[in-house]
Amino acid sequence: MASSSNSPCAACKFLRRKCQPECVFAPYFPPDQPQKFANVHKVFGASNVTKLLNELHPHQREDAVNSLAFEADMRLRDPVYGCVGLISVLQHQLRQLQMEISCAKSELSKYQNLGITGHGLIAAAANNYNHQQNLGINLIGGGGGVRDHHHHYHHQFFPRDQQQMIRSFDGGNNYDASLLAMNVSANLQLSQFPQPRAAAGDDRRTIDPS
Amino acid sequence: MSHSRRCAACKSLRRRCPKDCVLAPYFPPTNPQRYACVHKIFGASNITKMLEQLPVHLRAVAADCISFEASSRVEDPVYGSVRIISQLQEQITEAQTELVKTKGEIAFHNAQQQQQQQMQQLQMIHAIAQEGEDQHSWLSSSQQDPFPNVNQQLLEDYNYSNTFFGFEF
Repeated sequence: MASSSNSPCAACKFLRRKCQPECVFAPYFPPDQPQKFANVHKVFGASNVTKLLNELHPHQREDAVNSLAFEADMRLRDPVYGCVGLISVLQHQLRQLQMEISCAKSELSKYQNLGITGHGLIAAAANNYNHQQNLGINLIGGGGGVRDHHHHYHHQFFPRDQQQMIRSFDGGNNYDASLLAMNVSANLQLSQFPQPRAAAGDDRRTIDPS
Repeated sequence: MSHSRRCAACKSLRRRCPKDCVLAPYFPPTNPQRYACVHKIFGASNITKMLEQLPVHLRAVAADCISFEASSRVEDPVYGSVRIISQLQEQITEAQTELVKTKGEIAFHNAQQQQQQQMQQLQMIHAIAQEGEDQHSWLSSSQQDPFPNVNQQLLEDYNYSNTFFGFEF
């Protein structure tokens, strides 16, 4: 800990205060990553982050800080949609892939129906699997227009019963997911997203610990 | 009137809600939980700053997104909405694998079908060739013995009698 008394953590440096040995930020905001704390401070505020970290077990704090840093970074890049923009893009991607899988399986079933494989059960299994794919994590809405998509988008965001959050998210406004996709920065790197339950080391844009 | 019409933010902050309150349009008093989450995670001044820097026509969407992130974080203090991103990434990877596998199976069946068609064509060609060979062999054999069933002695006798008497029958 001798080094911490010589080099304050990024948080204490930013806040221009003495970095105490028991500083709650020090393990997660090293001095060589000043931007990480600057972003988190700008979006969430130091006191809110302190409160959040104090409510968690020590072994959870690193992941929490990294995910907060990621959210803060996303929000600064996209002040309107933040993380939600990326979620929308990924949902769209997943939906496209599921459609492609559905088309491919339907094409495959033609061969099976012709008896080339000779296994009718495979066709049934494929159709069943295809149906299950669409249920998935319930994050993907159905088709239809924007309004319909809006409805499904909100209800599908929460796999658990979180109707109150859905209503609050809606806020009575027309939420257009297509606008989300348009507003996301083109420089986003999908590989850098933090992975839950993994130890996170460096972050900046590489919150992904793997 | 301003007391009863205070937005959820001003109510929570126990202050008067001015007519030009930045937060009032997006945090109605009918939904106190929405503001409570946002206040806990981001804080009143941060929210106000974030919304103020945006054009008015984008503030509603921004407030919705901020509310969503805040409520996700309240529900999951470690990962918040980042968990959804992770799960989506995972699902995308699985879907990509599934798609590649299915396309591979289609390609396999296509190749099998083509092979079967080629084999059928070869069989047809072979059948035609065989038929042709059979006809050829029939013709060849008929030239060597035009009357395979006729008694050869009788033929010889006929030819002798024709040539000995010098005239033809």
